[in-house]
Amino acid sequence: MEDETNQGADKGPPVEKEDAAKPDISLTKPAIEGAETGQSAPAASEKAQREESGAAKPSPPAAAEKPAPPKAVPAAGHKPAAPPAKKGPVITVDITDDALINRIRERFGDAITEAVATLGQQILRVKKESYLELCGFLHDDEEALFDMCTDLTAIHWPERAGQEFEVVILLYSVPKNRRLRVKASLSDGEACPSVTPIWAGANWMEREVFDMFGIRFEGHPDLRRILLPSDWPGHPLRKEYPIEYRDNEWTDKHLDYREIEYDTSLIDVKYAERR
Amino acid sequence: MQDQQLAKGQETLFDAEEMVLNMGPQHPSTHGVLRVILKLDGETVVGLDCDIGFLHRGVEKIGEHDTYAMITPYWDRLDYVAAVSNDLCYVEGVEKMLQVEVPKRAEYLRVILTELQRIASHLLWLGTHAMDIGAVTVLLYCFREREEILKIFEDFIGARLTAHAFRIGGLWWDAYPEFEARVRDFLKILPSRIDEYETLLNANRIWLQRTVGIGILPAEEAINLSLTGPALRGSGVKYDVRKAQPYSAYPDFNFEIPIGENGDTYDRYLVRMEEMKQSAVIIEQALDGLPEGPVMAKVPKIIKPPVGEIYHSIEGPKGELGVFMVSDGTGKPYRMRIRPPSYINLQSLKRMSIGHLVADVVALIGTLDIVLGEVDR
Repeated sequence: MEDETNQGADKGPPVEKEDAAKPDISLTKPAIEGAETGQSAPAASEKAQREESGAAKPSPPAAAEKPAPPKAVPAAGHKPAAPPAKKGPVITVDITDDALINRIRERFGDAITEAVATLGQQILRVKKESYLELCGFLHDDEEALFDMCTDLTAIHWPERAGQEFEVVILLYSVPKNRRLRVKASLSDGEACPSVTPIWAGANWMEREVFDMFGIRFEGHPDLRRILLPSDWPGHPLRKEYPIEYRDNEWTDKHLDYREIEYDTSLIDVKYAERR
Repeated sequence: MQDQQLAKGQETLFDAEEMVLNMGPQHPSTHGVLRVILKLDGETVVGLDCDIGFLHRGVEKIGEHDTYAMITPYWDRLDYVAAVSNDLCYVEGVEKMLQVEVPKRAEYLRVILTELQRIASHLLWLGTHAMDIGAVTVLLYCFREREEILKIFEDFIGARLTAHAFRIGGLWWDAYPEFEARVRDFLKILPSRIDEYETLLNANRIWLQRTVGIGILPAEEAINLSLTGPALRGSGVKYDVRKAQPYSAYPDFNFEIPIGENGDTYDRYLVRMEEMKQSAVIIEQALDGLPEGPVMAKVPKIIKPPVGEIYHSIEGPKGELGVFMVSDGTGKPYRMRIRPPSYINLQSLKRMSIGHLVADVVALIGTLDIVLGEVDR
């Protein structure tokens, strides 16, 4: 928090705020360029992007960084400026012109529900039914050749009814030097097909997702908890799992350790209270 | 179990051809709290399972509840023998999201510190790996040089091990006046010291017997197992994030990526030794071209990245260290996933060990260069 010791961060807040709105909109344009050149050259376009908007860059949070200005006028101006600051600049754009993405779209059609690029990083969203087929295609196709599964993880979105979980798989192609992210949405309790037959390295990653989110992977050879004890209750990275929760029943059983009374109400902390 | 078998009239304990051996979590050669369950036929490993999580702190969960600036120190404690590299990964990930341009001087200093950290991490690996196999002398030699690096860190950052080196936007402090001279002094002695280790090991008959041909991993299989870092390069795959997807100031420097041929423990050893020399080359260039100027970019006091997600990875000493962050526009990450190289590399231990002897498992744990703080997170 006390990290940033920028000189002159405190001069003329209202002026800075006016600058803020403009670069936000202009930002979307260079981002498209980044998407078109593909993953291999995002560094250059990102650099250019940064330089273009360089001077006014810290603008979006500039409105937010003024929590205690002594004057009444900037404080009043702070209110209307807040909504755009919260939204921030748009960094995600649709991929319109990319050979590989077009090829995948042709092959899979409606199963690809979204193809976007965030700061030049390509993301594909696929229907769960076609997830495994797409992964196989990406691994084998001679124009894709995603031979390494860099990472596999999940995100919990409790507010999205019917699509509470998102499995994210980060792929890398050694011969093509290219990255791609594939996402599939699942409802709570739904199982996801395992990609272990395609990438053996996904084994422990899927086990960790099962451990932390409770998502089951169909076809996984050895789906057990990996980091937590096998009889641990709950899945910690779900949003409803509170951060300060300590399972005394489990501790009692294994460590014979009694200190705090067991209180089940703790586990009912709602996601909305997080903020 | 045994009783059941007896009741069925099958093998007794002493006739059993296979036995289960529990190695760790307190075994000295597991470098922390790794428990390996071995299924043995005589002295040959026929099955292996890793039991991990003894050091699990839930860093990813903590990340969802802390502000962006507050999270950085947790990263120091992942791979606690390479804290500086961890910081670089996280800090650059946030900067990428904020689209902050870090001053050139800060980037160069970051490269110098990160490469020093790589040397320190490899020295610790070499010392412990050699000690596991039986060459205790090397450990003492390695710690002598590592100490020099830690002293440089201590004067720069204030900490030796969990060095909170970088801040979002640059560095907290500029280099102290004698920094450059001290790093140069260290670089002067380093090549001769690396020669010393190589004299001790390269043609050592015991060392060769214990490492050559042990844990051979073909390139294709290594990629399929998501192996990264020196372990992958030992199998002959030229994948180094510093070259493949350059970050920070690495495009400014010339250096080689050493690769092995056979993918055995000896090749992985050679790769790491050469990497130390290459790190010294990078530091030399960074010191020569160290620009003047500020070390901190203009970063808002309250960091609120725009809505979106980012994956950023660096070449850590152990492999590709990555961060995958989802921002919902608030001051805390919605999700922070750490891609831990040690954790993902460790799963290839099973593939490498089967068919070898128990003693080789020790060598293979060493060659993967794992740190349990990062495996368990």
